[in-house]
Amino acid sequence: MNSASPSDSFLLPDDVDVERLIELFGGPGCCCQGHSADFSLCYFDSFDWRLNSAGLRLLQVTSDGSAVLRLQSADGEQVVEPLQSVAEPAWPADLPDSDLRLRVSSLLEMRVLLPLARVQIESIGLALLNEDAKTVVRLQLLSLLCDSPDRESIALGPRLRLIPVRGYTAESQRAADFLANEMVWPKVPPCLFEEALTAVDRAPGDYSSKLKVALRPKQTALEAQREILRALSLTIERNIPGTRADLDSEFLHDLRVAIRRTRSALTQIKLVLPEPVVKEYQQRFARLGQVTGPTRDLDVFLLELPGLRAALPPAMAADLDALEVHVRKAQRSEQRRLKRRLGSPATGAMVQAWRELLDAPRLPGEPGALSSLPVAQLASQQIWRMYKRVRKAGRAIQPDSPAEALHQLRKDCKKLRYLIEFFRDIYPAKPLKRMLRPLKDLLDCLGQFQDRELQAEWLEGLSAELDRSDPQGRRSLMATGALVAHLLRDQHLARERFAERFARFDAADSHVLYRRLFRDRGA
Amino acid sequence: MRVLGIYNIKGGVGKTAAAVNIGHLAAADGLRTLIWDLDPQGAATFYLRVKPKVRGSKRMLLGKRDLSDVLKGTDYPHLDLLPADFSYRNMDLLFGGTKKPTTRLRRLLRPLAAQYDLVVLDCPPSISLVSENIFRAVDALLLPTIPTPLSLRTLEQLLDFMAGHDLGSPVLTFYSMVDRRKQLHQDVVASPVDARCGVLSTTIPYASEVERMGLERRPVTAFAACSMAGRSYQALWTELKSQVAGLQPGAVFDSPY
Repeated sequence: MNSASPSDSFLLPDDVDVERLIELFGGPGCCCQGHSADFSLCYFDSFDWRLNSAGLRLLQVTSDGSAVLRLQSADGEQVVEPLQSVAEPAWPADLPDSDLRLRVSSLLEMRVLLPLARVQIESIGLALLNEDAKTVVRLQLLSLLCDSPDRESIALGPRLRLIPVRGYTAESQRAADFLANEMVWPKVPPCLFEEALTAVDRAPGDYSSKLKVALRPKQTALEAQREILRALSLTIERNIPGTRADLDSEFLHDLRVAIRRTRSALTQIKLVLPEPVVKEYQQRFARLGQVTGPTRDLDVFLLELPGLRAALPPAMAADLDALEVHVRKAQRSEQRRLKRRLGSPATGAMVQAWRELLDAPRLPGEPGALSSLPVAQLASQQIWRMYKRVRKAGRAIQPDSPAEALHQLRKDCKKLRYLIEFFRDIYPAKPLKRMLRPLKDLLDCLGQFQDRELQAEWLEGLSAELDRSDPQGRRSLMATGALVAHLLRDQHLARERFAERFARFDAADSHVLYRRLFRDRGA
Repeated sequence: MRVLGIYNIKGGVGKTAAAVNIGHLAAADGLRTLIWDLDPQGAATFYLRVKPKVRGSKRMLLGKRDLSDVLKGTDYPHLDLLPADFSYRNMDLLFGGTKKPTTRLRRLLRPLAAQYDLVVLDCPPSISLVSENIFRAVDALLLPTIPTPLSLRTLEQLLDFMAGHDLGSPVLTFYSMVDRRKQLHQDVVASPVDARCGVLSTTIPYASEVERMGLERRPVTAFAACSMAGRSYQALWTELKSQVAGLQPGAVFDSPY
């Protein structure tokens, strides 16, 4: 006996229609047709699947001019009260005030909601009746068409959904048992999510900003480096359209990280790829990275602005409005420039050539001297070398060291982090996680030190452009001044925190781990 | 959750027809609606094709059994029924033996607040402890009134009772079973009513469709929505929504996912 529950859905054979169903359930006295309705359903998530990662599905169902947003668990259970909302959701903050908004915005942060899959549903209602001709079970015969952006709509199998009527669960259970055991129709999940995504060639979690490369310790260094670069090139390609369309700030962020990692993988995994390839693409990606810088700086400032506003005296916070307008204008202008550059034939050709080169069976030129080394050995050697460099440079930092020394240390720390992340797969996960935490904290501290300095410098330069001739302009100037002071204070705090953060990175137990994982394996 | 009591001291004034049709229209508007058939005659239960039997009704009325366990879905999405039971004839006695006997019903309904937007009480004709429970449980009392002098007198008696017992729920009335051919009905409809009571402008005609509910065992608004009676109930519901807060159409509609 197949187990069935009173609210199951069953996949129907293609030849089963309403008449056949009525006949199967005992004829018109026992089963009757109800009303029909058309629905349109769309699933949403951020580009990096933040809702899916939390085990949630957000869908909007539209019918006859009404629309409802539902937040469900993976098995279709309602998580919060549904929300009436006809507008297609985009920014969580723009949703009507509700538990649903609270839940979605806390998970999405600065990311926008994007439509994943749209399904058109035709529903024909049926009712099973008792001896009083009273409805004791409701049924829905569903025909589903999944919209596809680049080809004809895809039909998902027709299905029959059982809806128990309160107080008549036994009748629903009988119907479910009949369908499962006598008709032997397969059950389908109560949620369409995975089916609809498959129909449009998507899979939950098919993008992540985290680098995922499945390396094997005995793989050659050359194979491993190519796989890492291939994964990064895919991330670059996937983030360019969203960056160009300025869908949200994280497309550009992920693009920049992928470019930096690519540069790092080219230069820090030494003597593996042919030298001319390294040279050429190191320069090309450096230029691409530069193009993306100004927009990202402005994005970061705008993302941090609410926090910075809150740090000012309340009476002054509103005086930053003029500054915000100015920054938004500058961001739009830089974004336009970025869009042009990323959409240029030269950038397109470069990205394509890079991918073709990585996919080609042989690389042009002579591979580097270490190309045939097992990747575990090469990775361990290079991580150990970079670790020693960071440790030496960090220990040399004194309270009066120039800012430049901290900036240089930050660059080296990033290189170390990227190297560890590239080769994450070939090391045991637990100790790696323990080592990465202090390194990430140190990087946060150094990042804050450098970002605050750059932002303060940038704001000082900007203040010259603010109009001082009217009272509003003067108030903005004063608020900007207060902001600069706050940023410099923050930078100072970051510097004060440095010693403690570095000490944690440089702790004896951490050193033992580095030595065991990398020095000993690299020998 | 709003609670609406369809009540009159007199019987045969169209209470049950109003309760069933209003409940049906509210559910069709997307409000999660429950009709509680408090009348042991069980006419609303009959109209909705449910058996007039509540297992453990005494325990339920004493709050020892969850109301949710005895609810029945109807033929209409979002419309549930708490069926009548013949034992309801002893409800007065039962409530009388409890602590705070006049608020028993209100306390019984409280746990349903998360499940329903509207509860319609189809009340038995009388003025008793159960009636007082109803007055204390409702957000509004809706009185179908036949346009005759005797009915108006009964209405005044009720309003006096409510004033004397410090019962502040708003009372709304509408004329029911109105026969346009009768001059008396026309005169009463045109005459002013006690100012303590709101009068809805919609009238429900004396119509064979309403009587046919007993044959069809469906609301008029389901089997003859376009008839005079069907349209009148629709107008009554529309007017009621404008008079009683919290009856706006619900956000939930039936969707397969």
